[in-house]
Amino acid sequence: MNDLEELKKHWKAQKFERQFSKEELYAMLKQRSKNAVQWILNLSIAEFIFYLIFPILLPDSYEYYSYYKEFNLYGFAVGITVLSYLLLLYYIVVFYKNYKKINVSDSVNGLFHSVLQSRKAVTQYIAINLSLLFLFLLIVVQRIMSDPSKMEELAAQNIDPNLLLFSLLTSFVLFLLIFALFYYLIYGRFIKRLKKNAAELNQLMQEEE
Amino acid sequence: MNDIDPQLNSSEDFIDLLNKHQNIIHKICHLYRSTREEREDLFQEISIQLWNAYPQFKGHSKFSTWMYRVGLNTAITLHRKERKQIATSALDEKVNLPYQEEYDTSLDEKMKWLLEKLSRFSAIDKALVLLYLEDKKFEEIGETLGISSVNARVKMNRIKKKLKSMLNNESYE
Repeated sequence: MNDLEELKKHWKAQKFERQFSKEELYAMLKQRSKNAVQWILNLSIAEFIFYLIFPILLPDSYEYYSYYKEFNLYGFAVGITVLSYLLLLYYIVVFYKNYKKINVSDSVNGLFHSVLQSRKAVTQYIAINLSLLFLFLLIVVQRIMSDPSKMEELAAQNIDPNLLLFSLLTSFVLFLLIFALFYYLIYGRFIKRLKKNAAELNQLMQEEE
Repeated sequence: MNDIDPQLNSSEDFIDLLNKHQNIIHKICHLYRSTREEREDLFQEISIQLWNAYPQFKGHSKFSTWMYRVGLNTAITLHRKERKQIATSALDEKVNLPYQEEYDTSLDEKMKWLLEKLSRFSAIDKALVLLYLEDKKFEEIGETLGISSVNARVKMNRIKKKLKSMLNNESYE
């Protein structure tokens, strides 16, 4: 192992020409941080705020509710809305708790997991929200299709109900794809790298002599 | 959190410690970033992270030990590269840009050779090599990475073999 000892000696003895002065170090501490985790947390908070104010931003949300009354879905629509807000509240608490666990003085592995866990809460929240939306959409479509008067209205307008269902589902899938692409562009690479590193460490932990 | 008052003892102490141990950060930056600009950027981010976390530093471990931990966490996970650098990061992983000399002309050939070889290592392996070359104990390596000291020893033996075969197979002169 002499070569390795020599390499160690070299490594320890290496001198860096560029040494920062105390003044330069002071100046550095005043610069803006480029912390990826902080950036992701800010985005997550923005997402929560978006979901919180989104229904309020819809100008005719009350009209939608009266529309649901026609299909006897008013109670269901209110229920879904209340459930969405309860979920939002729950996930904000979970997210905040996880966020408090993120600590740069933690071990490398510990930091991976606290960051991934924190992000997981937001992803879960979005997945549940989208599933609820999809479920709601399916129920509304089912009600339209099982209502003879509505079907007559559609027929009068020369609209094929199957085509309507097909185009609704296609739009939803398209919407999901755009959504997924948007998330991949924002978080994909960072989360992928983090997971890869975490997996490598996990594999390390399972290895035996 | 970033406001520094040079009059305050704690910030004075911190800057003294940072100044004294800045080579640790230089080493991490050379290991994880290939251009001068990126290294300076990472150096700054590690310094900021150390300063932000300094109030929680209880002195249970040596300042230098704590620096390795925060430095590695920042280099591997926290540091966000500039947009133009993000755009090429996927490429970097595949091509492994050669180590660039513009940062430090004082590094000798052997170090340049080593850094270029290490640029092909994974982020975790780089951390293991750093801690090995710094002669850290298995216990400390395990604590820094969040693995058991037994795992650290096993992995370290592999890293040593990898380094040795690198040394045997290639000349750095």
